[in-house]
Amino acid sequence: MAALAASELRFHYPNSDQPALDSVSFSIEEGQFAALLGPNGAGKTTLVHLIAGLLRADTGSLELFGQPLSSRAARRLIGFCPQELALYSTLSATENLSFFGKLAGLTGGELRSRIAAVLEAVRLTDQANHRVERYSGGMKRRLNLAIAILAEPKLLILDEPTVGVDAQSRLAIFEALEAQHSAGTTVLYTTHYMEEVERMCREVIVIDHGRLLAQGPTEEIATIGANNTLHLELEGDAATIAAELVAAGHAAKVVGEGEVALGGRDLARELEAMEGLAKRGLLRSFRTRRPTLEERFLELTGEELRDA
Amino acid sequence: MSPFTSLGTLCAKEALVLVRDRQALLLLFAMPALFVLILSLALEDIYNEKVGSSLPVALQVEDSGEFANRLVTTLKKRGEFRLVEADGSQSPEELLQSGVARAWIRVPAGFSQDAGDYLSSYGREPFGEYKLEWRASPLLDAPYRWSLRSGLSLVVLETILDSLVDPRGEFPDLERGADLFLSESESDTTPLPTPLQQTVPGWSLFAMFFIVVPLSAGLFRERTEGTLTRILVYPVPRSAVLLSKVIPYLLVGALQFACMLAVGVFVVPLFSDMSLQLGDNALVLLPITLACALAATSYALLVASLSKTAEQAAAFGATSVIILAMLGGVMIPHFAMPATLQQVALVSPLYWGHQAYLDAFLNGAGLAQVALPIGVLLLFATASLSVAALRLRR
Repeated sequence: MAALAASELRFHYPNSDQPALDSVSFSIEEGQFAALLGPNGAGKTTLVHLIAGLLRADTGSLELFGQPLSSRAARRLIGFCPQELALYSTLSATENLSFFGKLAGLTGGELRSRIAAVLEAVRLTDQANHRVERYSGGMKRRLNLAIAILAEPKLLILDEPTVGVDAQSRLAIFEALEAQHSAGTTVLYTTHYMEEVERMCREVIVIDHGRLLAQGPTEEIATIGANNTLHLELEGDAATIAAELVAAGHAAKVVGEGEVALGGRDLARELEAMEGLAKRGLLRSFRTRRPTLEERFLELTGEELRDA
Repeated sequence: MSPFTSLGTLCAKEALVLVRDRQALLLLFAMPALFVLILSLALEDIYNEKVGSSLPVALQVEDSGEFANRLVTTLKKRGEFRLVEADGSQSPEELLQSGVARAWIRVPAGFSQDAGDYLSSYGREPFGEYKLEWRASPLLDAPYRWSLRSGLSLVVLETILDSLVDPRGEFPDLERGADLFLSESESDTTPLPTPLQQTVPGWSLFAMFFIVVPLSAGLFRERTEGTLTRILVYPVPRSAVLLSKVIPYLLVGALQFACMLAVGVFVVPLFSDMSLQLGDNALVLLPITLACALAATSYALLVASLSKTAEQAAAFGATSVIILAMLGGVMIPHFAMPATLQQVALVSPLYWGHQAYLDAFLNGAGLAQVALPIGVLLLFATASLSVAALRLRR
């Protein structure tokens, strides 16, 4: 069963000519740990806000566990961790959790036991009654997550939950998330840190300019297609050889002294080019290199800056 | 979770956040309480002069002659003067200089002798060198100065007639005699409020409307810090979110009025003879207060919804409340304003609130008599809330 199914989602902000999302369709299976990736301004936050029920799509539909998102029952299934530190700084962690827990429908003993559990999960039990204004950035991030997982949501949406935290707090957040995922929660995770995606996410959705660019298992997204990089160790001037390869229609660039990376979408042609170099006595050795998710991401979304 | 439970949770959170905000509490409670205390005491003398209560006079008697004694006795009987006794630390003249007395009268040694000589000559001889000397405070209004002079003239005349006509007794009061010929008709205008009746509702209203500062700051903080976004993810009606801003501040407004009332009733009397008169129908203060607090909260939400930043909301909110308070008669009593400004004052919700309170205090108005100002305040609140709700939905 799909935990989240989006179909032909379209949304544009008032006073904007370009749609923020344009015909976006995807689905995430129940129990999945999925990453939503895209450069700044790609439409990630808009999509997350649509899923969290904060915005309403112009057209298209969203279903959570088979129920339309607009229903109150569906909204109860969501846990949301916004990008901002959405906390009341003059209240303690317990008071923040108690407030949001009550909004989620928790009461009495159940509320108290859940508060204790999530405080333990994010390692804030000792600081539970201190005002949040005294917390470090990492502690606030952990509390931000604790509120999101408080009501044991079936779908947990996280919008860049580890921005600006130290390694220790990041580890605590990962562990809490992995525990939550192991307990059966479906997770939709938005981040700019590819190593986090590679560590935790089994599924990747890439969007840019409001359009879906790719969706699939993390391994596949990282390896399918381009950047079958062959690293060639050459005899002679690497720059001249790289220029020659580029002129022949290959993606090639110097990556070190006497080294050229040869990439592209057609492996047969690349092997042919390599064979040609070997015949000319220019190839000393070669090795293949698995592309990183970041390289694949940059290939999909381009390298130009997104300042606007 | 029912919408009412959500509303209760949101209101409780709002109250807790407000209670933790010491600056806001000082702004909402301590500042207006101090204003009431200080301004009531400061306005006491001005008010007394307006309503013609007795004028404090320092009397310096250096003559023990019969004429001087008669004059002092007559002076003490007159209602418009209240003789201030020197306690030894200050001379009567110093009492005038320090402001304790507003006028100073000196009966010099030799005055009885000179007055007796003058009267026995039937005015044919010039008056001697020892005349009754008096001086008024420069702060005293000109009409009151004239009143003091005519009062003193009457005292002198009565003393003269006493001495001439009935040396064994008292001549009938000249002023009472004059009253046989005069008749003053009752004024049909509203009586003037006492300083406390003016300041307590005035500064309560000011404080209620000043919630624009903490309320808009809190609302912007929730928007920028993402807590509002987070709240809206839960199945909570948006109307409950808006109402959760109204209800706690409605109660805060009522509490502010209760505090100012307590200052007027219990604190100011510790420093002065004044005490707050609530009128014959004190229960009507409750609906008036709730209408004022609702108008104030709605205005705060309107300002917050129309502003782009917290700083803009705080600056515009505070400035606009000061202007509305000035127009509304909080700082300058409405009755003291020129006619044009009195008309302009109608645009200020604080004017309607203030008038409703004054009507209750001075005329013992019931709910029917204050229905118009309450209606105007509710209309203002409805319009402000509607615009705020539309703007905040975005």
